[in-house]
Amino acid sequence: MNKTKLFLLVVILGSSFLSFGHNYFVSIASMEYDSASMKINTSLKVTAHDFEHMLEMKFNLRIHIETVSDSSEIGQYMQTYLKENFILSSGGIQAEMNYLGKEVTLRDELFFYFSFSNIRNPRTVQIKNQLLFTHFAQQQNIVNYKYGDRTKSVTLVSATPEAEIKID
Amino acid sequence: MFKPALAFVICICSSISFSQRDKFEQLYDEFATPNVYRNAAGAPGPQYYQQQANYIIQVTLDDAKQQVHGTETVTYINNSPDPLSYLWLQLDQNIQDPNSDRNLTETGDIESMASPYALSYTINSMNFDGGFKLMEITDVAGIKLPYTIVGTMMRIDLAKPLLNGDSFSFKIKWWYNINNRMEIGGRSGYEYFKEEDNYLYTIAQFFPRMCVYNDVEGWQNKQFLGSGEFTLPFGDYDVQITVPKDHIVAATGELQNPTKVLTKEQQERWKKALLSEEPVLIVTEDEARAAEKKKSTETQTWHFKATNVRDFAFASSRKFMWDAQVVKQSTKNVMAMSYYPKEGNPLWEKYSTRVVAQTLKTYSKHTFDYPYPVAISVHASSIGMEYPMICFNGGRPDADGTYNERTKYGMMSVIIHEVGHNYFPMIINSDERQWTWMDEGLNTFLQYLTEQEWQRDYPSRRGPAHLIVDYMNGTNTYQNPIMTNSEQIVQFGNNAYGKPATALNILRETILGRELFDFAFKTYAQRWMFKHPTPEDFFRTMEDASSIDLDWFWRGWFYTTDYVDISMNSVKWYRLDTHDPLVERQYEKTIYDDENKNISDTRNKQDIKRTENEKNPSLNDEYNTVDVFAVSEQDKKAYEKFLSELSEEDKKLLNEGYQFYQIDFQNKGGLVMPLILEFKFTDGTTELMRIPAEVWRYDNYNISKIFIFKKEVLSVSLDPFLETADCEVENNFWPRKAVPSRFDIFEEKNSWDGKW
Repeated sequence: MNKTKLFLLVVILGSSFLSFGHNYFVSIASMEYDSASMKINTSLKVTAHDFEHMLEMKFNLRIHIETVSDSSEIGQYMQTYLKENFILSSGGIQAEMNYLGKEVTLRDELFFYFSFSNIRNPRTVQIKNQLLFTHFAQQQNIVNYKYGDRTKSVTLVSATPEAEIKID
Repeated sequence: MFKPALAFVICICSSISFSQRDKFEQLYDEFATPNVYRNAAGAPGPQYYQQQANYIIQVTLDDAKQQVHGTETVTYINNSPDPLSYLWLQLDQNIQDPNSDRNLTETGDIESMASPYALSYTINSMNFDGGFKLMEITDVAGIKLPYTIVGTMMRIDLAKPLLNGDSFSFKIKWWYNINNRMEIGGRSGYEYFKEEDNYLYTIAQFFPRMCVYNDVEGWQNKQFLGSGEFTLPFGDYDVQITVPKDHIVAATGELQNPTKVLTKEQQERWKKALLSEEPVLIVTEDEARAAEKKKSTETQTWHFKATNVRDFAFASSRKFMWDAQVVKQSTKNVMAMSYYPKEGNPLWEKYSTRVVAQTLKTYSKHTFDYPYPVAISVHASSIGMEYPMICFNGGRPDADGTYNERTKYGMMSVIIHEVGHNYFPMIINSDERQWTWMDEGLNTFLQYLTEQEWQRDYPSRRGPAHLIVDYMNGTNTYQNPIMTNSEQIVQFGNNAYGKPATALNILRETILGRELFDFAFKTYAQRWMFKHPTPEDFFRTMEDASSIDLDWFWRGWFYTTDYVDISMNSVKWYRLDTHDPLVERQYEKTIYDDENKNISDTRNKQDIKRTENEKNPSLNDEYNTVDVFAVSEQDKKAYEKFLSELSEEDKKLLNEGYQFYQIDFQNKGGLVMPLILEFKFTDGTTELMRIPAEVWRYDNYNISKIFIFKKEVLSVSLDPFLETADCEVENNFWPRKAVPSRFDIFEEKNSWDGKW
């Protein structure tokens, strides 16, 4: 037992009751290895509303992400949150995340842009993406990884937040 | 520039490798066999039947305790050929019981308990005394009826079987605690406004409702686990709703006693609204603000009637303002209306009712005239939920009355979507417990069309093919086919809304074309208006009314998780061999001159001033002096012979200047799709070619095809208008072209702009 407190409960967050709008609970990371720079470039799409919810719980404020600058306290927290929850390793070494920026669309999509450097073996990478798992039980994080002309996908859920992608 | 690969005759390599026709196999194994209830054309058969359930309900909203108390008399009419010895009812309110199957089967690890929000949500749900409390179940004479509760359903046993054409009436008395939506969620419930101690109620699933009995399932027998919504028979409703006297009530149906519940002034405004094509306020903001300041201890009863609906819902609050306008249709005028608290403004008074009106216009154009007297949008924070004639919609400005653009579009989209549900599934009454896509997918598709008619370039989230690409891309095993039961769909939003809506849009834009699609879609809507269609009824009607066999499309898009990635692997250029040595030798020389040369050969030409045989030409013989590109007498004779054997037609053909291109296509994603090709020519012209998906019927994965032009091709692009949801676009260009990723574009932009 490595936790001091456990809340052993059967009942978890209810289903989405929305016939529209809030039925996403999904993020999609589009990752691609760039052989010139030896980096994995990533754009991560998440429902802006869901991410705002996480921030609102944290900061106890109504937050519109359009107005959050990267240098502000909330902006800095977002970057830390990404680094803690989206981890890429290869050959037993954790790659370094270099945050580039973010973008919000009118389709309620929030895009984060970052790249990973220090990748041992870009053909075999371990990806752990726990984004929003603590806030939405049904959150699923899809990862599409493109190496050369091959794309492989995995879907990470709370119970299995980590997966290895191997390009043969 | 690409070069001719060969100067030699056409090689037509039709790619009949081996039989791989599975993607074009007919769906006989998957589809139910046509019968007297549902025919092979996708229409109701000669013996199609459906049951009817009529309700007389008296319900009281207890504002002090947040409870609903009700009595109902249900009259069930058996139109089926089968004798029924028991009746099943839905007790969907029971999912609020902490021990409901919904709650017991919910999974999650301890991480999902980590936030205070999740924790309080869980504890509150656990401690909420939810679910129906049934007080009495009797026949009309007051004799108790035997019943058994099974989760979210209840069986009533009949003394003697109910035969075809017979009806049975019974009474139920019940109450339940209303859930606080903001704390424990729910499709219905209340929102509490702390500053002024007021409630806004959106009430649904509030009475025991008859299950559907039909030719497909018998009695509906799937428990409500929280995702698969409702499946309900049509009937007539007479409902009396008793609420605090200062409440305003919005409900399914037409208000029967306006003179009792509205002020004289409000009645006058209502009359004005009946003729106005702009929203008219019936309850003003001032009146709503005045009402919310004090609480009446008296009650009053609002009386509504609704004909031929599958359900009934209402909203009640002293916070409501109310506006209405008329929407004129050729068959019937409809009142588009909105109810909202001051917290919804300024968004709601400006947009809600107008958006309701637009929704009715667009949807009716694609289906039938809206047949009900009213269409209502009620503002309820954070959700979107639909019922006949009434829906509860989110989209709330900040407390200071400002709102951002995303909130505005989110609000308009949710209103269009939920009002749109009047068509699917309220009128075209599919089984939501089985197939979410049949209402959500079809509805999301029409939502997209409505949004685009509301505002040019409206930022629609679902519909256009390219918006589904990142979801469908790759080798993801964690996806369901669209044809998956409602209660086990992973990725509800993408799978039950986005993907089917996109599939329909692709059918409309690419496979059938707008005219053919619209006719078939409308045929489906009209055939199944006020009836219960199944997926096969939809699939068959779309084929029957368009004369296009779409089994391959349904199979790929609805029964598998394949995706679209068609690759243009290579383009080869051929031209006719003229056999004219003057032409051909020159051509061969051009090829030779154009070829890359070995570096040593090139340098040697410079460095070696004179070779031995150049110094001494006597060393040469005819082998190393002949010009390989020169035309010999022999060549000329051969050409003359060739010409003499050709007919005049052949000679003409030879001189037309035809260019032949062989393109090799590979289907990497699994979904067969039409090939949409744009050819650009060296003379600056372009040509578009649309090749039906059946081009893949002999080989589902690799095909070659010859294209013949009288001009030279400069470049080819596949799917140039982003209409097929092709997930990998880099292999859609010839010559290959780097397509910047979203990351690349952002990086480029931000290397100059700096960060924000």
